[in-house]
Amino acid sequence: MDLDKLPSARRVVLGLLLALVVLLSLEFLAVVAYDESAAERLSFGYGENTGFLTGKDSVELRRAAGRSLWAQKFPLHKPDGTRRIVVVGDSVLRGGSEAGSLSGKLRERLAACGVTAEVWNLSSPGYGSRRKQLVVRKALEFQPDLVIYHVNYTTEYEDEREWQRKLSHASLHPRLWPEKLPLIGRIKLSKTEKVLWKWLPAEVRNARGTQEEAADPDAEREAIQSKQDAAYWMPRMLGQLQESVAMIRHADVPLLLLSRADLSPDRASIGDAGLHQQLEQFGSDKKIRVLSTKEVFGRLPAFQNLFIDTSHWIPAGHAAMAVAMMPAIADLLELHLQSGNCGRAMPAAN
Amino acid sequence: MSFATWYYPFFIAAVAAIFWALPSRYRGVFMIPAAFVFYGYWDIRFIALLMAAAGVDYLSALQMAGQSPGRMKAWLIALLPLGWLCVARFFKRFDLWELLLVGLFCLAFIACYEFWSRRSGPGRKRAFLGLAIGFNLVLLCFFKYAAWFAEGARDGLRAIGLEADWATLNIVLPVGISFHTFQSIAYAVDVYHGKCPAEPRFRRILNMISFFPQLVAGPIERASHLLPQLAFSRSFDWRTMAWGLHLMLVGFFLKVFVADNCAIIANYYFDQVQSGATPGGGWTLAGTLAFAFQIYGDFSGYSYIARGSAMFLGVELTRNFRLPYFAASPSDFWRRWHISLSSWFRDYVFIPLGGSRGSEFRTAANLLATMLLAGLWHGASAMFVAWGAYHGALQVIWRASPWLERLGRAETVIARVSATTLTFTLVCIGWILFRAKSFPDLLLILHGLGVWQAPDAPGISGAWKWLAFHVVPLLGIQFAVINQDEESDIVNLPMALLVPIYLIMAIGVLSSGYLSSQFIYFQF
Repeated sequence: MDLDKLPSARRVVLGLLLALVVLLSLEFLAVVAYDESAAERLSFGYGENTGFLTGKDSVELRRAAGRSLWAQKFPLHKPDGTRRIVVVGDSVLRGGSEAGSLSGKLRERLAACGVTAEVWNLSSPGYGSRRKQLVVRKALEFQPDLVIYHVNYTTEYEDEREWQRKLSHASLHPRLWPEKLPLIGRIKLSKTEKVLWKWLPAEVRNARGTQEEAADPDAEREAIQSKQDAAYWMPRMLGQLQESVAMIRHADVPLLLLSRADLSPDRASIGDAGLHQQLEQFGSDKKIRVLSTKEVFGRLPAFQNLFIDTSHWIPAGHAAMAVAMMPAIADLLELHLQSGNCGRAMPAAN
Repeated sequence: MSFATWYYPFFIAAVAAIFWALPSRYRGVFMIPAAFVFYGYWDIRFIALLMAAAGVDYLSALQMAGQSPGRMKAWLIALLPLGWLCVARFFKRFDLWELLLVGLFCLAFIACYEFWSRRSGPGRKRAFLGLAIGFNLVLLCFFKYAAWFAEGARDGLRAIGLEADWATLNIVLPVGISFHTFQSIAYAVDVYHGKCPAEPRFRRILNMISFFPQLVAGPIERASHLLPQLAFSRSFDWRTMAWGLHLMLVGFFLKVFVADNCAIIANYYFDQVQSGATPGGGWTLAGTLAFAFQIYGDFSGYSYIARGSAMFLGVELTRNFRLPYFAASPSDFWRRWHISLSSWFRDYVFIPLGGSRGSEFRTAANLLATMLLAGLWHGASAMFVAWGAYHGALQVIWRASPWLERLGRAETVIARVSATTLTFTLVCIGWILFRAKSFPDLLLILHGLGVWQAPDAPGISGAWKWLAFHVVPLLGIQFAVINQDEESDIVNLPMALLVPIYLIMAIGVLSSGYLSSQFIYFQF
């Protein structure tokens, strides 16, 4: 190639410029299409207001930046005579749809009992005690009458991983500049979460020599600590939970704690690795009730059928839990119901 | 400094800006500290190595051309590496024996230089050629092979019951030494044969040896091509900038999107093998294919970035790859893979050995010897030698088999596809030899072929999807330019294709998070 007669130099310039224009246009479109800022997106669910769009008269809940809330809309100020209940949890209580989740089923149940109530579903997949605490703090701004808090330690790992990601992305290091772009940043995060983590197991991703500059936080965390190690994660979770409980009680809001339980791999039994026992310490407060998924579902015949997999529930499972919660809710909200189930039996687990 | 770091684009932009802002007569001077910053980023000591190679080349070449720079100047140039190390010791701590060794090297060169420069006649020219080749090879062998030989000696002594711990050498391999010593040797040989005039300015030779875009992993340039361009007399031209950007985009796509992502699969598989595990035949296939595309993306990506960087400075480097995985025969593969090295071995080893001018047996012997040396060039390891021998044997077999020879030259689509598939398969088998660390590892790989996936190995379907995700875009681009030379020829495609390709490349590069700052060929 002769530099004095560079072939197609004009085409290169035109092609590069056109590609740049298209890329910038896509970035601009991404700014318009997505509400949240790069800082919010790169907070990985640790943003204080992420998912809450507070308007003049209403508050909208939406899926945003590491917080996958169902789209919901409520009045900003609680209408007279309406009870406001917030459900904070992980993917289990988030459910497959808002109507089919615990919040939807509770709303139905309360309506059947003649109670006017808003039930906010503030559950997001992978949320552990740290991020739930942020959600609780935000929820308390809207004067709830009751907080239902799903307690679990198996998501602590994800909380920690996302915290590490938030810390590493908080930097203004030039290496991280592409991630702050609206479109490229999203593609990069999606590629990590939906492709890399989904397709390649941590042991493959963590092979020597692949992470020199931009470490894969999932593989790194996995290498340090197993996701399922109760002895490691349980005390961390309980520490955060105590802070959240203190915060809720400080706001004088009653609290219903629900301990998570999982099916054994052979689906023969249901267990919670001693989680419910750990929560009994909170039972001394008259405004706190503790409910065990293991006990609620364990009483039902063919309880396995209430699970989609080993931890998530089908809508009938959410409905069964809503029914089981009614006496505790009635007690905490000082409702005078004719019976705990308002005349309806718990749904069959068939 | 590596190309695949966040700061390299800033570095090349700053260097190019200062370079073009300077009057042309100062550009060459400026390029020396720029190159020293680039190379000294790894280890400031090894800048002395560049000075030594440049000094040996410069003084020997002048003597071969019957010129003399003067005794004082010659001594000063010969002692430059020692002086540099003395200065470097203020900035980096290292053992005094290193200083002593460099001092001995300088004195030995001065002694030889003085001895031969007093001689006259045809022997003098040959002597200085030997001096240039000899000192470059001494540098190369010391850093690259001394530890290997010492280890061999230690093992040999141990076999007869003698302990020899002294034979354990801890020598750090200077980055890119194999490349710039070969470039130096080529310069000396070309001057000897009169193909290239001896350069009268030492600074220009230092520019040639230390030209940072191609310093650490080639392309191995010929002096006749590079030296005239190092006058840096060109005026600024936006077209060269655009081409530089174009080449760098292609290079970063190959390195960051293709190579670094394929490396995850290849590293996992070969690390497992090295730790004694046998993940199974499926993983062997995935790991080998991943490595094939990793090494191609890594090295060709480097070459593109090198060419793009050089283009920013108004210098054109030679093409190093021409779609090698579309080769129709092993010899065709070597005409397309690492062209600057294979042509170096052709011109400076194979042809001087007699090339293909003698009998078939002699040609086969020459081919085997050349490929063995090419294997050894990659490093002091029996596996590299085996890899070179394997490629030599493939070429000999092709030459001996008229059917295979015909297949390689056939024009029909079926024959072409068959020949390409066969060659690619054989090249991939060669990559196993190249990547495996030892012969026991190789046996383990063969042993693991019995089952598709070992029971304790992770699921392989995700690995295939990951591989396809990163290789298919590259193959798409390569198919689009299959009748041309290389990926950068996408510029000849219609604009409706070129713009989306640029877009895919840019997004692929910017959204790839697993950047390895190292290139495989840095270790050679």
